Amino acid sequence: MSPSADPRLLDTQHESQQLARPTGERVQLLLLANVTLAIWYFSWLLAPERVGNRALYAVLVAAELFNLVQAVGFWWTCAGERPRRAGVRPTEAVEVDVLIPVYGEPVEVVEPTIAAAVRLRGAQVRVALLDDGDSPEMEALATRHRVAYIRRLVHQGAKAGNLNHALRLTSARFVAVFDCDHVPDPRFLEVTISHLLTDSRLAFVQTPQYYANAIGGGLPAAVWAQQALFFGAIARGKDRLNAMFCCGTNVVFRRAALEEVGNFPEKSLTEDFELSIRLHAAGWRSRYVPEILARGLGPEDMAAYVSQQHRWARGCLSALPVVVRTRLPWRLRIQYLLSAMYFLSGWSMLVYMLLPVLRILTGAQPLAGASADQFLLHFAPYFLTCLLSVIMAGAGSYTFGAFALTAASFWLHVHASIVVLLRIPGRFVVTPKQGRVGRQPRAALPALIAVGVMIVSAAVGLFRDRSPATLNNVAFAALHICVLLTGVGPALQKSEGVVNQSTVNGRQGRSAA
Amino acid sequence: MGREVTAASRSRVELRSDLAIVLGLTILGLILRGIVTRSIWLDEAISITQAKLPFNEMLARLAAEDVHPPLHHAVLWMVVRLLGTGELAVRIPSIVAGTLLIPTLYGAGRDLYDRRVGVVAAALGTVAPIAIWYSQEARMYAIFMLFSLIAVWAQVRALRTGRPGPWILYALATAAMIWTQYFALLQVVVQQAAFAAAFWRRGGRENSRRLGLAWAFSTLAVLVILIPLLPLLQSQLHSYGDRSGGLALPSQAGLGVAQQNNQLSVYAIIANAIWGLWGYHANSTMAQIVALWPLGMLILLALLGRGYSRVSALLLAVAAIPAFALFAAGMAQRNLFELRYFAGAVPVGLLLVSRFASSAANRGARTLVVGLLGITLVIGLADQQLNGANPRLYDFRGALALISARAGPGDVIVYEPQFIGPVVSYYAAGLDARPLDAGLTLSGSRHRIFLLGSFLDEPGSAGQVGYALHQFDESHRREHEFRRPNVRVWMYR
Repeated sequence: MSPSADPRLLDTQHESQQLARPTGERVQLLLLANVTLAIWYFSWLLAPERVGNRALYAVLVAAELFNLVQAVGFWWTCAGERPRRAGVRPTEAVEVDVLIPVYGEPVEVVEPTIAAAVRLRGAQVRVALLDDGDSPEMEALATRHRVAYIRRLVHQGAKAGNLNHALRLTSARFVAVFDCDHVPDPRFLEVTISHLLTDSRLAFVQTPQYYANAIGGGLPAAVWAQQALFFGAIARGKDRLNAMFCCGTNVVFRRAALEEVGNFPEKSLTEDFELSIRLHAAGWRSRYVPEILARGLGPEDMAAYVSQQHRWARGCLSALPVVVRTRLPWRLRIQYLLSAMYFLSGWSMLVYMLLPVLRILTGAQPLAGASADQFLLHFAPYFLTCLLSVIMAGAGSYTFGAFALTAASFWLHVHASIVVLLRIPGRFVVTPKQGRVGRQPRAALPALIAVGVMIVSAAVGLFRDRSPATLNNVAFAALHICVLLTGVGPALQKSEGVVNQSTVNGRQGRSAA
Repeated sequence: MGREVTAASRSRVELRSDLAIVLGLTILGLILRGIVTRSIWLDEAISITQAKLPFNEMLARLAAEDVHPPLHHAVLWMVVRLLGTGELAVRIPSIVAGTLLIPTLYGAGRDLYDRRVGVVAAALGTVAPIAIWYSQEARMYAIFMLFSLIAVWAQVRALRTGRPGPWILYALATAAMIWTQYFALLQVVVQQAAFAAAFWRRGGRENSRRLGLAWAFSTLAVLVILIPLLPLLQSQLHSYGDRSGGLALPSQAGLGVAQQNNQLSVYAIIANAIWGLWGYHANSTMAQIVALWPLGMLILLALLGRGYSRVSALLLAVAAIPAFALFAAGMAQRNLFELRYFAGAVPVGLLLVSRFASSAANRGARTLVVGLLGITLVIGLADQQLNGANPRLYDFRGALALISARAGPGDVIVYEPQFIGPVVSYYAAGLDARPLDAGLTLSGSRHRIFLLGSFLDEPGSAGQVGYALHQFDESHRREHEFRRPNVRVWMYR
């Protein structure tokens, strides 16, 4: 990737503004409407006369209640935010260790990160390249940029182990961590360190994990749109509740806080999540700055996305017992539970896909004592305001592509939760930073099977009869088919494996203009 | 400089090609609207009867018996004087308004969004079933649609430019809209709220005072133009109260899918949305289409992340708020929730749909979406116009033509229900026609009796006709029976 084609070097002012846009009073009013309409819908749904097929009803109610819990959590989180003033500017020379772990990533991905790290302003920066891949090229790269090169003899604990090893060899009061593809803005430390200097109980300052390759559209754009909702209203809300957790990159820690909790937990697949729990349990605070201060690369292909999401799902779900066991203030405990339980949402998607199939093939349906228009009357306002709150809270950043990708990943959540439940050990898999060439239908096979099942059942339904009841279920199946096909679209398209050059050039032109 | 010249000449070429397309579409639209396949409907027959009266008498009749403002009636009164009462003649005002809607859609789409939206909107407006349906009806709804679109377009232009022209056009279109249909007031309220929002947003800025003044003057102008309407409105409200809130007319047919246990259901909203875009269809078809509502969720989800403009928000509000207000009113009085009462939503909705369809990410997707939409509209149009199962198709013309072909001197037509009298008079002016409940001496007559029954899905009419058939069968010989869409004729001697 030539420097001129690297999207990580482009301006992100617009995206930053979108992440920082306050939710405002309109969203708060909408949240009130959400609560009212949720009560309206659930008081109808939970009426005893609504029970059709008992098993299906139970499953439907479970799925709806799970989604309601997630929705209420979202509304609570996004209900407000605390305006943060920049902290005091450092009056003393502040030392910061900048740690950049690598594990087999290409030099052209890592080099811009190293080059940008050494140019960080606002502190005495000591950059260290933590190479778990034992690569001579990395060593040469470190030498070229005059940064420390740290290599381990025993590779254990994956990224967490790599970072812990480096922490033992370094000594600065603050530690910044960047994934090797995340190019920091020169102002990164100027903006973040001041918060740590102002609040002595602040353990870390997190900034957005922006995917610069989103400008090329396709999968990275959809993945960033998912991230944008989190790093927008949700993260700002978590910041208000002092519940922002560390996301593993683009973050600066207080070394004392890390040391107090024994540094990064090495047995977790999501060491950042568990570390945050430990820090909060120890009474440390966290902060979120909604400004893009580092630009990275999101998954370029479906296999990379699946690998990333599966790791996150397994890691967060396996942290659930930790959240329950750990002594945390109630609001923090609920926030962590909400974040971890998000990775169970694939189950509800599975339920929604199964219900029309079962209705078409067997005639069994969860609801009784209600006509379809009554269901619509109670469900539609709830659905609409939920959708509207996502649109408004996310400042329009959450796209259909992001939604479809989440829906098409339902099986990842299902698989991850089964694996966690059965305690099957997993290993830390680094998310590939460059796309592979060609189609990847295997990475979306479960979703494609679901599409196939729904197409067949819809065809069977249409063949049998075209009554409004059947058509209604066929339409539900068609809705899921369209969403899933949109979600798995990137896996079925022939990937070129690199960021689209023309898009980058076009963006550069716009930036220049 | 050279680049500017190239851009200007390209713009001229584009405009010329657009004008050619729009002209072609307008001619096609005129032809489609001119091919009238429908019989005169009850409301049309009443309007024609009123328009045949002297002008003052017509106004008096409107004040005493009608619930609509007089602009369309006045136009129809002139048309009747100039061209007579032929089917095509009385529908000319609607055909003209409906045809003018096509270039207006283009202009509004191009001005509010871009030329692509303009062309798509004009193309969809050309074949939009409901726009064609009301363009073929000697009633006020096609004119209402036209003024509604002009009022919104002028409002956006007024807010954008602040020039007097759009403000004057807004005031005239708004006043004309209310002179055409009282329910237009709902749209006016939405548009006034939009002015208030714009004023509030500009609060404190230099141009806010100018906006405030122009807004005040335009509102004043609308009020002044409406003053002559007030005495008529007052009389109509008084008469309406005396009649205990309704005329002895049926609500529009085809509500089967939109109500449950004689109450408006939420499906009514979907049914009206479908009617608004794809036209009127058989109840069974509507039940099937309405059942596809989960696909509406897909459309809503597809809008995620698309962003929205203030223009789109205004158009959406103008289309949706009057409809929801009338839905709420329809809970109390069912027949108030009728697409024709918020027909202004149709062209505005077409603009929004055109915007949605033409904003797909790439050319292929755009072509696919617009093409599919256009095809479904054409299918909807064909089904609406030609399918006899459409519950809004009442072939009085066909039925009465069959009667006229067989009737001789002294023959009698008895019809049920009573309220179809004006349409029977329209098509069988020279025949002896009387309502069934007016009574008929059966014994000793050697003439033919034609029993014409309609609205037979309503228990009252079905019962009356059934009883009459029983009586006629005992005293007369049934010679023949005809069936036309929603009309039946039994011939006795």
